[in-house]
Amino acid sequence: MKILYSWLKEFVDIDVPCEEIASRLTMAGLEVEEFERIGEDYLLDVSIPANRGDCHSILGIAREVSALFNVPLKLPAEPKFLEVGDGIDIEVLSPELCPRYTLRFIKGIKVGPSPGWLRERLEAIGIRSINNVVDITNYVMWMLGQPLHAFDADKISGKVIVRRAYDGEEIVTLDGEKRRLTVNDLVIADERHPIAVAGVMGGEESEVSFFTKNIALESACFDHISVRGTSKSLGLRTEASTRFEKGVDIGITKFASDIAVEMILKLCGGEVGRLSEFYPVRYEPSPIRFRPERFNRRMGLKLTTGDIESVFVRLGFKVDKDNDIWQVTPTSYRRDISLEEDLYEEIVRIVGYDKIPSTLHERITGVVSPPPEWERRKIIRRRLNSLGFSEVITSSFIPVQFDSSFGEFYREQVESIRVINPLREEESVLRTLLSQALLNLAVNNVRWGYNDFSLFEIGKVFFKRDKEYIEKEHLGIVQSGRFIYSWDKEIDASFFLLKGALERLFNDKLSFVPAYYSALHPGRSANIIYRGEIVGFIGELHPDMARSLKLPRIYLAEIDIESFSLDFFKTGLVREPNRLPKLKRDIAVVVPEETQSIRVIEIIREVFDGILENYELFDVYKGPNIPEGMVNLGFSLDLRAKDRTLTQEEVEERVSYLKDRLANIGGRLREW
Amino acid sequence: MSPMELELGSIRTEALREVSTADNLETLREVEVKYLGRKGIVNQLLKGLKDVPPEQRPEIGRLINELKLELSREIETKRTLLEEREKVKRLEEERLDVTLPGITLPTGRLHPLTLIIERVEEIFKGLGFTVVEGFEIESDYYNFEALNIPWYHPARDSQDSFYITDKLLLRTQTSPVQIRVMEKTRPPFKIIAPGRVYRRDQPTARHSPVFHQIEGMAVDRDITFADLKGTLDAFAHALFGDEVSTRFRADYFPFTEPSGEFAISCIFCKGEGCSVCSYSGWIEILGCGMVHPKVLEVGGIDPEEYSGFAFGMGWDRLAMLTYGVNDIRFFLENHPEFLAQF
Repeated sequence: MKILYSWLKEFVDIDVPCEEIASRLTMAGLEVEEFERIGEDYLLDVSIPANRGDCHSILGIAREVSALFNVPLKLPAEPKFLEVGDGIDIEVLSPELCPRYTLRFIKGIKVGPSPGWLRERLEAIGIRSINNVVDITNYVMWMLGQPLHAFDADKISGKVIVRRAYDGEEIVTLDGEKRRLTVNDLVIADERHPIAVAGVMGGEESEVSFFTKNIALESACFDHISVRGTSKSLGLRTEASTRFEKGVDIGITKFASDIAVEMILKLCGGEVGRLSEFYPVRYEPSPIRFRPERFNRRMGLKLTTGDIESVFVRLGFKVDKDNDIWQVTPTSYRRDISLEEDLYEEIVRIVGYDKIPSTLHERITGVVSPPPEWERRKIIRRRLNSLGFSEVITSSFIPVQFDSSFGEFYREQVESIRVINPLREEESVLRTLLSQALLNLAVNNVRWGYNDFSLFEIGKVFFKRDKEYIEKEHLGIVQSGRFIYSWDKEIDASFFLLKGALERLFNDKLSFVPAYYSALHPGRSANIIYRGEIVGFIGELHPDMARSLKLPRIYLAEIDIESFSLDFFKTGLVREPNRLPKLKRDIAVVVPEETQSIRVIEIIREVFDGILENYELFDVYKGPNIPEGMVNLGFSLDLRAKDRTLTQEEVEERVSYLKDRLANIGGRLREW
Repeated sequence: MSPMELELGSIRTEALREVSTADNLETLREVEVKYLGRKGIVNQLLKGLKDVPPEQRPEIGRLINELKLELSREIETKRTLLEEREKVKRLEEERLDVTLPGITLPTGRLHPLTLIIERVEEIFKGLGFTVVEGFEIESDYYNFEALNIPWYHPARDSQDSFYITDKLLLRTQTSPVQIRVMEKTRPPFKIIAPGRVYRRDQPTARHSPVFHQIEGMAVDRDITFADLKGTLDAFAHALFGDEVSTRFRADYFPFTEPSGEFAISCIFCKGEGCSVCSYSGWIEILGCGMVHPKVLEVGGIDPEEYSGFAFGMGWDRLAMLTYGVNDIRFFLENHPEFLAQF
């Protein structure tokens, strides 16, 4: 809302620098966003909060300034003019959407350009001058906050009717657009068809032109919800609709019309006809209970009843004091004030928020610990950091091309969630898996020239299952390029490097079984199992997909971390260190090469059950000295019993049992 | 001098010469074996003692033992010398170019938004607050209606939503958590609720359709607006330093009454005026207020018995201010060069 300082001063008796007015308005909730000097004058751009429809005018801002600086308001004098002749009959068929309607007939006017002073004022606040009649309606709207509309009275057939539109009824509005209406829209119609969309825009047909001789001037109060609905459904916002939807003062309808009439007589000539008015139920603001003691207690203030009363008086509110419980009646234009707390805000707004002290409420509260997922996330982040992975946070929206990638993870039917009103294709589909977002990030990284990365994200995935909308927290990891590199040593990203990180992160409690994912390398992908359930997957991006995305080898993993309780990651009760001597035993196992190494490991675990403290697979070898079709696995075992010193004999006994067990899977122990 | 003594003399001379000319440990070892080994010359001499006339045996025997001792000592001395020399040589060979770059192990980093929320959580924890979280897919009821924003409310204009169905949307603010907490928890409570929110805004340096907020709420008997001020003052000083000044001004939110906007003196220009603070000297940090009585009622809390305050701030914005980032889109873009700085 643009306010000229000189115009403002016509309504309030104030003599302080404009900067100070701007600053006080801002502090009181009417933020002055721009402050510009224009010659001798100033232009303020005031941002009006959604609840302060009453401030959409010079008068409204003047009332605020009057209350804030405790200076008198200057209202324009009651207009005086002679009514001669007839009016136009009106009929309001939808009083629920139009509590007050006035129409004034003025005949014999001369439409022409506005005088210079009027044009300049309108232009300063950003309104284009049209002609004297239209300019006057705009001028009065800006001044008093009451939108007005002038019809060419000769284009109106019969009486003016305020009614709901029929479904499908059409009107061409002033902007030349044909608008299709519904029964939810309120229209101003004559006996044939609509001549204006109520509170939003007039019709083209009855537009005031330079040939117009007689006009009908409308000043009305339309229901704010209805105007807002129509404005939204038509996609049409005007200065009028902006004011109506925030609520205009029902008390000013006629006064604004009279002010405009007075100006029209002065600038366009003509004779004023009778005012037609519909205002069946006079609006009276209701008193609100106010307890000064409760006010001070809630705000942490110690204002006297005198201080409080003076604020109400400055705002023009009526105060009815009865010791501890007052009745305060706001003005008709302050429809935003309906509760006791609304009055609290008025007081602190006017005395200033800086008068409220700064204290701390120190009582211990009921809820004290954060949710387990919060702590779990912190532990995982720290562990992955120490494993060399960096955190990323990506958008929930993914490129549509990755919509179903890795979807094999969901073994039941799930659907991705789409927003029905996306801004762009890029913001339409929510990720069902973090891997989709991380793959997209990998594409970007490579495009930016960064080929070495080890990244993770903990975030939500979204999907629809059986009509239910589900949000779950996942962990996603993406790795590519060199992990450790130098002039001396290098370790490249690989399936096993990533797998090792997962094993460490999840305390070696995961198992991995080969799995099929269309987006992953068929020989290098696995499901991740925890407690018999598939909780995630790991794999190398399918070479075909990598090629089409211009990516090098990419390794991905994703885990539903909601499958792991916080306790899983927390350190539980610790055991005492075992101080008995440890025996090291290296063994070499030769098995058919198609054997899964996990089978051999299971056998070793079983054979050395109770004394196997740790094992390490240090060698996987095929070639000379190993028979064709066989593979050599070298294991280093740490053996130690909890209750006794192990003997070499006991170990060798188990080793010979191992030979038998290996024979069952076509393998043997290789002697050194 | 007997012939035996003469022979011993020449053996000694030769042995000492060989020891002194040995220039590596291996040659020295050969010399040692040659003279002192099991089948070495000295042992041969001892064996030959039986052929020496008995009256000369004690004297010759003593001389042989003296020779043995002397040679052992000399060889040992020489060995120490040679070992020291070889060590020096080996150390020289092991010399590194210490100016070569070190070998770095990868160190993982945290995302700036995580760094910020952990700091914010720490501060509010000290003020008695705990973390709660909500849903990103919310119903129109929790996101708007319950927060005193009916369908026709103009405040909805500034929160253009992404809809999933007629009634479901991606939450436009973290405030629905207020309702969800009240439904589950009896006062007193003090919570912060960080989370992701969505608005149908064209992406620009200042706006992202996907961004993050931190909600705060405290409800108890006799919580005052002064408590809200004190809490936020403490927060701002802990995060931005004791030297910043703070400012509250009136504002409007449908779910608080009275409502306010909290600002700190510009940390970039110290309040002098710069482009970051639009030459006002103040940076808006958050919106806040006393919880609206209708909102308390929706949450099943009697506004006569209890009162509360609430606030909501831009999480990305805090990170932008803290790290001097001037484009909100950087946070979800994850450019390696950006992330490497945290």
